[in-house]
Amino acid sequence: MADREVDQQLVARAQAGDKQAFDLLVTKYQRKLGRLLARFIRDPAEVEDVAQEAFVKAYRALPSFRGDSAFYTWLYRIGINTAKNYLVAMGRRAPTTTGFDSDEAEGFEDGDQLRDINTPESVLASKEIAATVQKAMEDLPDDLRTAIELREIEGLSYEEIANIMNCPIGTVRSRIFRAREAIAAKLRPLLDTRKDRRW
Amino acid sequence: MKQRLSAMMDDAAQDHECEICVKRLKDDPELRAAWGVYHLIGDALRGHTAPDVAERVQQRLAAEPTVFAPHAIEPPRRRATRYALSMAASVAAVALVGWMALPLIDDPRESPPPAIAKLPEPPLVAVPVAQGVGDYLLAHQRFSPSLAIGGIAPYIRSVTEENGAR
Repeated sequence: MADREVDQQLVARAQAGDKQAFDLLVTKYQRKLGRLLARFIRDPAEVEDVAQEAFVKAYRALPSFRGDSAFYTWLYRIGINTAKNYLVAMGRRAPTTTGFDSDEAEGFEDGDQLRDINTPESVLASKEIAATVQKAMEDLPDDLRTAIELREIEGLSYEEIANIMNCPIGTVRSRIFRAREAIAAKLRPLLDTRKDRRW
Repeated sequence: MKQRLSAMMDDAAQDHECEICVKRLKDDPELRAAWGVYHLIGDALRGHTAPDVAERVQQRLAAEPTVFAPHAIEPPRRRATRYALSMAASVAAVALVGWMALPLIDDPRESPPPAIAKLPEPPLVAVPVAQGVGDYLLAHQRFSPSLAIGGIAPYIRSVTEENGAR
């Protein structure tokens, strides 16, 4: 089943009232959307706020999603519009030359949703995660490391990886899974600690 | 199950595995946590570890009215089935028309079809058009369903009346 069909399944479940299905889509696309928003907004805290707003808008607009495009394509458009509206609401110009009237800017829900921009904790946490993943990768056996690099960084399919590594597709599937589990085992304490800190 | 999830994320799982996974994700917190960590690993390897807004979004959505639009999108399998059935129906219709037309095809080996009595053609009669109908038709042309046809076609009926009827 293609990635798009997995998304369509999750969207269909969300449209049928399953909010957890939408949560899974948020988990999947939050960083990808964040990268997009960072092209318009420099401050990481503001990127988080706008990303959050975009997802909430996407959830409210779910009944209008018919599946004609991929879910991320649809989310991408909502993200762009949310970023532009945010910049207009903040009195800043959007970096693109396409004009949009400030009167048309939707009301941006700020106030209690915005945090202090001086929040280095999230930046520090991101660096910790990146360092932990990098260290875990270095500790992996060569075959597992190669398999997950070819998949996650090069974006190759299992068939292509199997050809390169001269092994069956089932072996590729197993190696990638074992690599993920090995890295996850080192990440989980860090993630659990972050959750504890919030309380 | 986690291995199925891992494969599903890479478009490498069978359809039935994906269906099982998607259903289990709803009720299995450990599987949902794995979904989150696996995606985090992929994003971290590509150099992106922020933002992490899933929890905040979840909290905000908890306060949102639940969306309920169950027929807004067709599941992929049902859509594919619908297309397959439409194609099958089309092929069946073409086959039926072809089968019915077979007797009409001249075959020199077969005996000629029986002669069909020809009815006399009805005489063509000019029907006088009431005065002002032409103007009426032109004025109400925009309400005609034949507007779906482009060009001058919609106006053909309006301009074919005889000059004498005006």
